[in-house]
Amino acid sequence: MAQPTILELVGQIDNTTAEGIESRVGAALDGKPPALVLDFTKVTFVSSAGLRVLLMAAKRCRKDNVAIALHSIAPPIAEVFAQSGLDAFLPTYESRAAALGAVAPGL
Amino acid sequence: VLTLLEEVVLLTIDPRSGRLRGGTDHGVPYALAGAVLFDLAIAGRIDTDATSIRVTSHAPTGNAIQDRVLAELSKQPGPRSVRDFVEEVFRQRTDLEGEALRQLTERGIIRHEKTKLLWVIDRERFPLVEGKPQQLVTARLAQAILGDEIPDMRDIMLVSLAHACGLLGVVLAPAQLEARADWIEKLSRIETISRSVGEAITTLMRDLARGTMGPF
Repeated sequence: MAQPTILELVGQIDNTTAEGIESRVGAALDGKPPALVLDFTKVTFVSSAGLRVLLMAAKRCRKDNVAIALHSIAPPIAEVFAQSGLDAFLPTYESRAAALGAVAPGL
Repeated sequence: VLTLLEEVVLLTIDPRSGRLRGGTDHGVPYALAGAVLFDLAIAGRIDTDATSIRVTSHAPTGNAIQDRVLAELSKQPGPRSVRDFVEEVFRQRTDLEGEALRQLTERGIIRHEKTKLLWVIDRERFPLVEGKPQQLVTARLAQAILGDEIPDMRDIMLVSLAHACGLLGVVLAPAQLEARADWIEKLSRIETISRSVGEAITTLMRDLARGTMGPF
């Protein structure tokens, strides 16, 4: 059974790093995983450019029928997600276990 | 490819008469300021957090309007409030609309006609020379609002600006807009720039209604 792909993101997600993250997400989805989990444990900041790349990841996942989940999001970043309404497009969880439980419950 | 500023201005042209339609009173100038900021964000020159703009590259884009706004933003070191900047552009009466109309004329999409009303009053019209660009903009807006997929970012920006300044009514019927009101709100919340434009317009409308708006 195919395993979800987990991507660990690090540092700031802004217009200097968004392109690299877009490439990583695209490459991960090209592998046709059943689910994509984005680990935010080491993410310190998300700008508007960062929100855009995350929203486009959600768009690609919907198109490819791949479940997506984010986890371990620092409160200031969670606040940005809530303010922009991004959390309506991308489900977020407190831990990796909870994210995996949601997108791949059989594992 | 048109800039977002040109696309919003194109939406303000009535294709039958060539006249400019205003959307929400005074809302369009705010939306145009927001459109230039989006153009700069798309060009990778600025980025925003929840409230402020940061210039991330001072390199000119080659577009005269964008480069002037970029130079203005670069004058102040450090982050600057998105809403303050949008309001400043409005207060300065920067003629973004006129400049975008000139660019659309140079591109051969519209032409500029000046006539006299009662031999005295200047009346300007901007008839479409080529209808397709405006049709493409309205089709993208309609698809972004009525479709089930998450739109491309550029279309989300366009929806949010057109929504903020009351121009969605030229694309869809009131019943269609009402049926998709939640979706339009969702799309309009995503970007700091659109939220700031929307807040600035709401505040201006409230001040005008109260009669507290000073001379600008």
